[in-house]
Amino acid sequence: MNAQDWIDRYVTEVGRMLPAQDRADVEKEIRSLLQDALEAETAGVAASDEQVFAVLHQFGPPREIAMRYGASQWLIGPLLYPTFITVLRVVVGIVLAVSLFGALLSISQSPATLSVVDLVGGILNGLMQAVAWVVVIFALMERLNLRELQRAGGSWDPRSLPAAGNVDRVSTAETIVTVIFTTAFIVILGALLDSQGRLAVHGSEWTSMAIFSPAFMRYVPWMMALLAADVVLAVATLIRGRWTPALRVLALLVNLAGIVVAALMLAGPSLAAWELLAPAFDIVVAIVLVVNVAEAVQQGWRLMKR
Amino acid sequence: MANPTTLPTPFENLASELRRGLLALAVLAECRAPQYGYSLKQSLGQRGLEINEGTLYPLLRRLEEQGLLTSQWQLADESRPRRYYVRSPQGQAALAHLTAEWRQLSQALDGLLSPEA
Repeated sequence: MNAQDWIDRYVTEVGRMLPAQDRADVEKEIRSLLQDALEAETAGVAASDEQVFAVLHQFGPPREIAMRYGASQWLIGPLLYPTFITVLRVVVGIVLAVSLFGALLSISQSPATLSVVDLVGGILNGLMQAVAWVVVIFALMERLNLRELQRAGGSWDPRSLPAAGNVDRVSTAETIVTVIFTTAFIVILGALLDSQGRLAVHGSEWTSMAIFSPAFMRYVPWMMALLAADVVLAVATLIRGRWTPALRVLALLVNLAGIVVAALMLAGPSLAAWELLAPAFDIVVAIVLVVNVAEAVQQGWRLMKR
Repeated sequence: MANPTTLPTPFENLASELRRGLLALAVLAECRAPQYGYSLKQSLGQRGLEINEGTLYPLLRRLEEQGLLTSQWQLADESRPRRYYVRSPQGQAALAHLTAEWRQLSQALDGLLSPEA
């Protein structure tokens, strides 16, 4: 193997780790620099392997050179990483718990039809989806955070710091968990809308049956819109890092809309396709109504106390 | 500058950090005329500034990205391309600024490091 081959190997290895837009240029430069160094070493005579190795060694490991040439990019930086890990733990824990519970339920209903492979596959699939969503949300936040930092520049004012125990502070981890599960709920409602209120039910075999009444289905788009508003609000509080009065007013409006929708659902025709289920459905909607009232009161109270 | 290989590792890290900060100033000063990477390393070495390739060459590129150097590929004698770097007007201004900074720092540190302090 001649000197050029070793140089080619080194340059290719460095290039592999560089961002695509710089690759060709940096490769060309490193190749030229290595040739200059080797030439100085050999003074025009054909280089021995040892001489090439000495020059390459002097340049250092390809990974290090690539990093110095600006290949160090990251998806989630050190600032967000601790929150990322916290959220990941919570989400993975909940997904595992829910899918294990679901699996146990299916086994207890019909142990014969369920294979272990399907079970493990389903749990793994759910886990991977959850992890992927957390990563995507944090990667987006990383980009938004960077832009915010660049825009704020030197204009940071210490007086803008909220008090340590301030109710306006937003817990990043908590908010992201809210975003993920609210989004998941929107997706479920969307699927329900697609299947027109029919649920796949696992008896002796998979069948689909209507559980929700047409009256219920009419409210699904409204519920999805309200949940989407919740997600938007949560993301806005994340970006601002706290509850501003404007955000509280918006949240209050979303709560009030939620109260109206829940009240209409309770007052209207039965929500369940079977009369047997109707009371259970009414109770769930009533709980949603109460939670919305409580949140609206809290937001209103905090707005007035300012 | 001291030879880094004579220092134990923790000190070596500190020393190379110290050198790295001053390197941009040295490079800006030395690029008054077009220089290619290897020639720059040689001329800095002759003045007692031994710099590792992995530090010097990426720095040239960063200084160019910041607009302090400009570069041009030229064919060397054996029809081999080399990238030549030279100071830009912006680099000239940066050099003046950094030089003043260095003089002040160096004076302050001399005071701190002299035995009677």
